[in-house]
Order: sequence, then structure tokens, then C-alpha cells
Amino acid sequence: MKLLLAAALLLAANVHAATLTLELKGLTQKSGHVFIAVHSSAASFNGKGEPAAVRRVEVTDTKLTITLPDLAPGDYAVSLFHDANGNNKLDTNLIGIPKEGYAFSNNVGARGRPAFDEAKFTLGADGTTLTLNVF
Amino acid sequence: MDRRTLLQGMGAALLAGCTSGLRPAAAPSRAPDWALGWRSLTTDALAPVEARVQGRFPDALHGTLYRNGPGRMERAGQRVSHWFNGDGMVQAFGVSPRGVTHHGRFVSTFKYQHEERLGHYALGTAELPARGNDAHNTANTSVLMVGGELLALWEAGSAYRLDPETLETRGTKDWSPELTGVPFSAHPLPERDGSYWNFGLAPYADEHGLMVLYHFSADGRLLQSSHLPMPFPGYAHAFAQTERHLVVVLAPLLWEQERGVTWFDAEAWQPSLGTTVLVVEKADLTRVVRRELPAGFAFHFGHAWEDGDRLRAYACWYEDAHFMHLTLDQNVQGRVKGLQPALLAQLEIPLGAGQGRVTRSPHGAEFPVVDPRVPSRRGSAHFVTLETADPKLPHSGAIARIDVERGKVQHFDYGPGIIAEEHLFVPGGPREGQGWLLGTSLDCVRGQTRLAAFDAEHLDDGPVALATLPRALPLGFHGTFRKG
Repeated sequence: MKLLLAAALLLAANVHAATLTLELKGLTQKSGHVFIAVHSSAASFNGKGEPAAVRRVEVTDTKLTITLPDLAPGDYAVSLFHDANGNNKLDTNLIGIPKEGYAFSNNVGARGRPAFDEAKFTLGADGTTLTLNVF
Repeated sequence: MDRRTLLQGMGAALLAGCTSGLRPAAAPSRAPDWALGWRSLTTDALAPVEARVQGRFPDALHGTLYRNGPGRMERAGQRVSHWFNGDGMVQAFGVSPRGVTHHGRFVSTFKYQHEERLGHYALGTAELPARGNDAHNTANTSVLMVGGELLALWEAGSAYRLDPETLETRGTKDWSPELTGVPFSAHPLPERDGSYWNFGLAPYADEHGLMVLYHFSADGRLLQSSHLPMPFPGYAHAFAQTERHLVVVLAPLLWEQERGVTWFDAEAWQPSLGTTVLVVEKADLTRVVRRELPAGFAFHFGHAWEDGDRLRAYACWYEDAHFMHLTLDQNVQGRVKGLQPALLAQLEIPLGAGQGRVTRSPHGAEFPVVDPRVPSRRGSAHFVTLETADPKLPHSGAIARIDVERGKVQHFDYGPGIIAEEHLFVPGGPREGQGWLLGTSLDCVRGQTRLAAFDAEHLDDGPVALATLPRALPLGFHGTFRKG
């Protein structure tokens, strides 16, 4: 039943499918994976709801292009981190500052976690390509 | 031979234009260019030059005075948002029997290196993405000799290690893998055994911020560290110590990540919270008690000691945090109407229950320096830059010795158009406060920085030696003196 529902949702999404393309720059290590989450709400962005899409992509170069098809056009914010050492989390230091790479849409967040509205962009029906600098 | 005879014996030329001791000749009539103090230097290094010396620097001062401060506040027409964000430049004044020399060099931080290359401010943009506190580190606040290296100190990240001779940058001081890039204040305090204490504040960490404590040896090894939750994400620039306690006075200047408010935003000042004192036991850095003071703000502290059931500490006490919210133009304008200087004040902090008290002296004072031979004990002499009461003077060229126990004040005024900077105390004799004062001043009329030495017990007599550089340096903050 669950599978059926998921399939139905996917089909429904496909009706308005748009593709989000992320071009990542500035990865410092060619190892591990990037963990990407695409959020359609502030709640999800702040970890209190399900993201619209998630991906885990192997890092083999300092640049990486990722496509996320089948998203409904609308407003989103992307957050990602580079788990370079393969422990499935973003390592931080004593005071909570990331020791591994991270990025947000609109390239905000150099001095700390941004708000959803700062990272928000509109995914058009014809798709959108974002260039993200990994801090 | 009395002092006057001695000076006369040194030759009339020495005393030209002087009424009492050494003093620059009467100022030309043109107006001071106060902006010299906040001017940007645009070369990596200032090559060594000889100063013109009047008088004689005592043997005890043969060595090097290192000073640190923002040397660059502007790139490609853009200015930093606050004086405290300028790139750190370290100045070295070498004093020897042959004379006085000066050279300086920017600390080659990550930020400085890359923005030099790009020619404009770019940190945090797509051009210069960067992660962690040290990406923003300007290493611009103070200096300290540790383990044969000169540390250029900041407060929101690591210290940078410099070659004490060439001032070339060697890298960051990483105390341990866990503490790499973690805030380390510019005001470590020396313990009697020669080791040092320090603290760092990370107001954005955990729920209400974290305070990190460091204990390290003079040869640069971490002895112990600890981190404690802050009661609110407030601000402290320096701290005080008594025999058994570290005393962090946390001003109600709140860093609120979620609202996008940092210490440099005016809305960060929330005096209704009052000022909180965190009293940490040196014997166990996890033991801390919290005490309250009326709202106020201090960058710097003087003598502090245990007095039975309470602690007492001197501080340069502001009624608010306005200094954190000045623009560079306001810094240049100086003491504009309504901005009150800090007053030297005694803080009384009960170890048991009860409110603390602040007792203000009438003396406007900053950059307090005390005799390092009486750490954590009751001392009297505070050497300060003095804010005079004349509201027409935007900046003060006066320094003072304020003996708080005896209520005695001695002062020396460099004269109009001159800004006095921190003057360090160098011991020379058995009494507390017996020795020499060594400090710099910026003559904004002639465009010259000077280095002066005073008998620390006779400031009224004026300097015993005065070295004038053929250059003007932007104002700095703090320094350290290395003998030899």
C-alpha cells in the first residue's frame, strides 16, 4: 500500500516535473559523499519536516554536477554537506563550526546557518541550474 | 645631582622647547589630521627606519616593544564596517644603546593573503568561499611571546605565530586538534608560576553560547582546557584573575544568530539583563558561579584580588556598549557629544549571595596596565590613557598613573593634536609600580609616531627619552615588551 501511494505521488509529481541542476564548486577533497536536501518549507529546512528530495552522491572530483528531476515547480532551498571522511555526518568542532564542506542555495551561510528565506529560490517549470560554492 | 641638573648636563639642545622634561616643540598652528590614526597602510611591510632620539632610554628598556592594531581599513573604495575588523599589522620598536629602530608587517592571515591577491574585500562571497572562524581572523588585537614565537592575538579565532625578528607569519597556533580555530582572547593573564590563563567566547555555539578556558605554559604547551555553557550569548573582551578565581564579566551585548544580530549591531545591547560575572575556580575549571552587576560594559581590567567573602576588580567601565557600534568616521571624530569615556571603577563581586556593586572613580581611563609582579593580589598603581574632561578635545594625549589605594594621580599630557596609546610597565626596583613606562603616541599635526619612556613613579616630570619616527602609524591596541 505504501509503495502504491509513493508511486501515485511520483506520478502526480511527474505531471509538473521540473529538473533542478546543481553545479558544485570548491570541494576540497576527492573522497566521501555529498548529502543534499531540497526543502520546500522552512520547517523542513530547519530539520522539522521531510525534505522534498534527498540525494547522496559520491565525490570523485572537486567539481560535481547533480540533477534532481521530477520536482514540482515552486520555491525551494537547498542545503548540502560534504562527508569527506565517510562517517555519514557533518563533522563540527567544539563550538559547532563545520570541519567539512557545506553549502546553501544562493551561496549564503558563510558566517553561519541562514534562514530558509535567505536560501530560497524559485524552480521554474523549465528547470533551474544553480552554481553552489562549497564553503 | 638632582634631576634638573642631570637634564641640563645632557645639553641645551635636548631641552629645546621643553619646560619640563622632554616634549615635542610647540605644535604648528595647523589643525590635527585625526584621520591619520585610522589611515590604511597599503604595503605588506614597513622597512626598518631609525628614529630621532632625545634623552636616553634606560638599560631596562633595551629590547623590543611589539604592538598590534588594525593597519588596513579599506580596499578598492570599500571600508570595513568597524575599526576592530581592520587587518592586523604588528609594529616592532627596537631599543638599544645604538638608538631606536622601527619596522612593521601585516599578519599574513588567510583573509589578508587572499584579499591582497584579489585587491578587494571578498570573504564569504563566491570569489572567496571560506569556512570557520579563522577565515575571518584579522589577528589585529595584541601580541604575546610564547615558546619563542610572537603570537598575534585576535579574540574570535586562533592566534597567529610570527617570527619575532622578521615578523613573518608562520601559521596559526593550534593548541590541540579539538581547539583548532576556536576563539582565544587577546588578553591572556600570567599566573605566578609563569603559565598563562585565557578564555574565548563562542556565543553562537550550543543554546546560549560556550566559554572556552585555556591554561598554557610559557613554552606554548596546552596544560588544560575546559568549556562551559554561557548563561546568555554576551560579550567579554578581556578578563581578570584573583588568586583562586578567573573572573569573566559578561556584558549584556547579545549575539543572536537567529535574528542575524552580532555584537556589532546596536540592537545587541540589552541592559535590562544586567551584567553577569562568571567566577571560575582555577583549581577546577568546571566549577563556576554566576553573580550579577548593574548593566555596564568593560573591555579592560586592572588589579583584582580576593577580599574575604568577595572579589574586587578594577575595570575601565562604560555605561553602555557604544564603542562596539561606532563607524570609522565616528572613531575619527572622537569624543562626540553624548559618548562618555570609560571611568576607572572598582567592581565588588560577592562570592556568596547578593548583588555586586560598581564604584566609579572620576577618572576617564582606558588601556589599563598594572605591575605584572602583583598578579591576582591587591595592588594600587594603574597606568592608563587618560580622557581629559575638556569636551572640546576629541582625543586625548594624556597618560596617567592612578594609585587607587592612596587616591593619588600623576599625569603627563603630550599636548594638543596628539593621541596617546597604551603605555606598558617594565619593572625596575622592588616597589609595586617602580620601574619604567614605555609607550607610543601619534602626533596628528606633524604626522609622526613617537616612542617615549617615563620613570613610572614620576610621570609628571615627562619622558626621560623620546624617539620620533619619520612616519605615522595607524593607532594600535595592545603590545608586549621583550627584554634583550
